[in-house]
Amino acid sequence: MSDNPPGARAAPTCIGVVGDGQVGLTAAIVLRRSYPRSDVVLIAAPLDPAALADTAITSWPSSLGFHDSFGFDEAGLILRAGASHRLATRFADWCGAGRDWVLAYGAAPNPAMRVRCGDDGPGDSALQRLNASLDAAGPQTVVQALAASGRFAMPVDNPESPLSDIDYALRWNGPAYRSRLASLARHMGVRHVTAGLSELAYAGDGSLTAVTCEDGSTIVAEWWLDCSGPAARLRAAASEPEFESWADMLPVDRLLVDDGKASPALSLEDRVLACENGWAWQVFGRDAAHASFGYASELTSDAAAAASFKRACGASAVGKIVLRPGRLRAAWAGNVIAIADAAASFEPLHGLNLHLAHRQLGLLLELLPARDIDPRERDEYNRRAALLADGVRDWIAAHYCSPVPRPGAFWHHAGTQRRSDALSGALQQFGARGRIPHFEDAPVGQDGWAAVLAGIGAGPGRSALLAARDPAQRIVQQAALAGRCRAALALARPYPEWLSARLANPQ
Amino acid sequence: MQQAPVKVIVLGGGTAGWMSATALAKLLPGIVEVELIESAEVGIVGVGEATLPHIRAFVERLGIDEADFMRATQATFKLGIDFRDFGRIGDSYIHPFGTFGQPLAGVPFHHYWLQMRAAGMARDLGDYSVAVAAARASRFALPHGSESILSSSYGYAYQFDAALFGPYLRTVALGLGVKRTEANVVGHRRNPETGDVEALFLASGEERHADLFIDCSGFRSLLLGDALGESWEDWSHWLPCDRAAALPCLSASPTLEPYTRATAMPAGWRWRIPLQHRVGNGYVYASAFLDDDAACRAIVAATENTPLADPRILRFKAGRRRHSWVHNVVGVGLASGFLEPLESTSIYLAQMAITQLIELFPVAGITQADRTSFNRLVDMEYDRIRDFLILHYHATTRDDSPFWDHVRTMQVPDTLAAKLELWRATGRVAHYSEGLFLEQSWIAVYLGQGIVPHAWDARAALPTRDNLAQAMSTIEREVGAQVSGMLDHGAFLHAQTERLGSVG
Ligand SMILES: Cc1cc2nc3c(=O)[nH]c(=O)nc-3n(C[C@H](O)[C@H](O)[C@H](O)COP(=O)(O)OP(=O)(O)OC[C@H]3O[C@@H](n4cnc5c(N)ncnc54)[C@H](O)[C@@H]3O)c2cc1C
Repeated sequence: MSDNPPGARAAPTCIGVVGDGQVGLTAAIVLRRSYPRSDVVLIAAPLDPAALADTAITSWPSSLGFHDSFGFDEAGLILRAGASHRLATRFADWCGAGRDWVLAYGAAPNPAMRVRCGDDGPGDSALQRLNASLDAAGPQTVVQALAASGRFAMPVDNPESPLSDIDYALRWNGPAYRSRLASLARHMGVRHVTAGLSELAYAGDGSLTAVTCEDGSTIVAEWWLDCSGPAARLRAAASEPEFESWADMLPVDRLLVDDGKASPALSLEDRVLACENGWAWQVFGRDAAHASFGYASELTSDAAAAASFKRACGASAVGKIVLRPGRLRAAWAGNVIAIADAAASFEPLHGLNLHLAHRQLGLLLELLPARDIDPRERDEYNRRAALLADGVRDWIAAHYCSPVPRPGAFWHHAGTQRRSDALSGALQQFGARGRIPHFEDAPVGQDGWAAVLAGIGAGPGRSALLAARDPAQRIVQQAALAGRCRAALALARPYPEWLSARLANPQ
Repeated sequence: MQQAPVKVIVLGGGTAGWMSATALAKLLPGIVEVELIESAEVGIVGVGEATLPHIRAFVERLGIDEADFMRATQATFKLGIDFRDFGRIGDSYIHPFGTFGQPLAGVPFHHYWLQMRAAGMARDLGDYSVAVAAARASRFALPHGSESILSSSYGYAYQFDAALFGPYLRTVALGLGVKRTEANVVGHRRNPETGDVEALFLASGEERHADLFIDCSGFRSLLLGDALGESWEDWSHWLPCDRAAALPCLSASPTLEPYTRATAMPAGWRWRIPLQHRVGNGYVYASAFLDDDAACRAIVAATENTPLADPRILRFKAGRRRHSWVHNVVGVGLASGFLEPLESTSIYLAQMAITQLIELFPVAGITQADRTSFNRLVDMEYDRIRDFLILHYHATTRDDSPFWDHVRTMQVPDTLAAKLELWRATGRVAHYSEGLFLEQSWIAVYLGQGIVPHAWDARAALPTRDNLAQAMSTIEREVGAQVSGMLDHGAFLHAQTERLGSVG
């Protein structure tokens, strides 16, 4: 090791972030916050429409906590970026005509139903809650009840209150979201170079030392984030990075997007409508209802996809995006760390592209490199970043694993693709024993897994614990669940009314 | 609609056996029919007095009242383990059931502590931990989830009389309808086609049949090891201790410590576990470095209390069966493997296996997938604990005996070597969310045994020294205030007579 006396590692003098979409902006902000005495230079790169984390207008609920962590307040998004709340996503006709399922956020409600495992024991509470809720007809959780009736309330801390079960995601106006990030970055002192990259300079050991921009300015930095989208411009410039294709695991490699002019809608539920040759995803924003259509180029022509898109939600496709599903084998090589689409590219259901970018940034902050890069830290980052990316891939792939898939070539293709061991294990265990295995660094928790697997009809299988439950107790639990849902409905307000009040009174 | 219950035989009535039988009967009523076979002739190991916080959830899930259970087993509270003389003779640190300090600006506390320590301005790491400070002061209070961050920054376990725990569970199990058979098992029959165990032969000539057998026969591993021949993964090259001389003593000291003590010895280490009615002592040693007589003399000489009996020698080996669930036999407890009690992990391992078995319980026939999931988890738990135990031996500068020379210089598993390198270079702990010992435990042992990183998080140097000193002393003061609000551990137990066992 070094001969220096033990001490804190030196902070970097300068960090370069390439790509100034919402991902690059967010990255620059969190780095500035972490290293207030280091320069953080954000360098523009043309926005690639296939950079789905950069074009995302929504994310997973936990992104809100991440926003909070860098002082990006939710109130501002609601007041000034047209944000609205989503409690659930409906997968319409997913397993055949009329066979919908709904992914609602948050936990199922009744604490009495949970098998108490104590604070630190291995737990099965998510599963128990799921099993309990599956007995019930009608809304199975407080969040589902609220979503179904179009009512909303903010979650509270007190676990006694049914409102504590609530969890939600936001969707927003893209340009407004980005411009709020840009002003925060400015305010934080991020240096923004709007001229694009022109030349890259490398040191003898292959590390990237400096970047020259089209305006002639040169930025010297100790390490770099590549937020330039799927082209991974920094990484690709050095040498073709090893890419792990997911083309045989995720079916969608083409996306059509609409013109963003469909009438806005206030809804707590977004919708993914399964069509013969793909799916149409509608995100109901306050600025517009945004739609996109995912399909497989191998099976469907662009024209046929556009026709389906039109039929499904009346949308006209104005853009086509080519996706190359997969991830870099090592997100971090040398002194360049690929973030978001530069590291992993995949179909955009649930807004997981941005969620993954946030989780990657969270991981980077945990293992934050100092001025000099430590290879062991890099290995640890790569190990965990791979788990994150593969976790997203597997969970999305799970959507297509219905034992009785919808008719159609796309669904047959999707349902027969290769499955990772982790996904096969989850399907097997849930199908046979109603159980979700533990995943390290899981980007989506057990509740999310259970909701999808139950939604597509892949279980839950026979759980001895569930079968052993006393029928009388079961009735009591169901009644308590129904009561909790009723109480939540009474405390909540119709969403349009709730939102007007919120906008009128920003407190 | 009701299916016939699955017939389960638990072979063995030690701690693992009665834990298994009770949990199955309690959590799977109507699904299982449980019979436990034990033999007074063979007897139980009857040691295993220190536990981990996870046991509370287990006991609670069985519907057992904590006070009643503590009274019956003469239990005391445990906040951690005091390791003495491990890193170096004269050193002492507590590995607590709790955290150190609080993260600041997203950076774990220990980076700031390292920063202040380098400036000569940090107190002992334990002064920033409620669990450690309370243990050192021999004080105790139940943690409260809601009151403040500090009051929920620790957990607790029990120290109990192992000879009383099994019998306590037996009463519960019998009440739940578990059938108990006192018999010596002398043989078995396997199905010639499937290889499954079909029947056990009792010394009386009777046979017992079951769908699923839980092998809790202790070190003998009658079914998993003998009957099915599942191979043994030997870890004695890393964990050479293979004997213990156990010595129960009268409790004499006026204070009742809410922690277990592990003191390094020339050829191993010795435990000291204070219970309500007595103190458990024992010397865990490597027979390659020390003979039994010398070990017995050493433990008698080392103990501060009056022995209640002569030392009793126990023999074991570190390792595990390659798989714990094979055919229709699931090994739980010592029958599946053994790791020395340095971190009190055996009962936890049994509990973990039982919990997994119940989750995967084969209601409509065992599948290979059930076994695979179960074995993956059990193996992972064993392997990670193994690395953590090896660390205790390897992270030392001791060169005062051949035993310590051996463990100090041995080649450790790659998995551990990589963790150590990352820690030394960056002060970071390889992150896992599954398994028993997580980040705070690794930090406690690394720093407690003198493995100080060469470098740590650059962000720890951002606050001014004054600000950092102030933040650290605030934490330390709050920890102190929290602890001074607690009762003396003995007084706490005496104030709660429902937890007290009978004297004598
Ligand atoms: C020195 C030492 C210290 C320990 N300290 C701790 C500690 O602090 N914390 C901790 O968690 N763990 C500790 N352990 C481990 C702990 O003691 C065991 O995990 C626990 O007692 C479980 O043992 P068991 O039930 O698997 O086996 P045993 O107690 O050996 O029980 C075996 C059972 O099988 C029965 N049996 C065997 N053969 C036959 C047969 N042929 N016919 C019928 N019945 C038969 C016996 O009668 C007996 O009932 C320690 C172990 C040792 C050796």
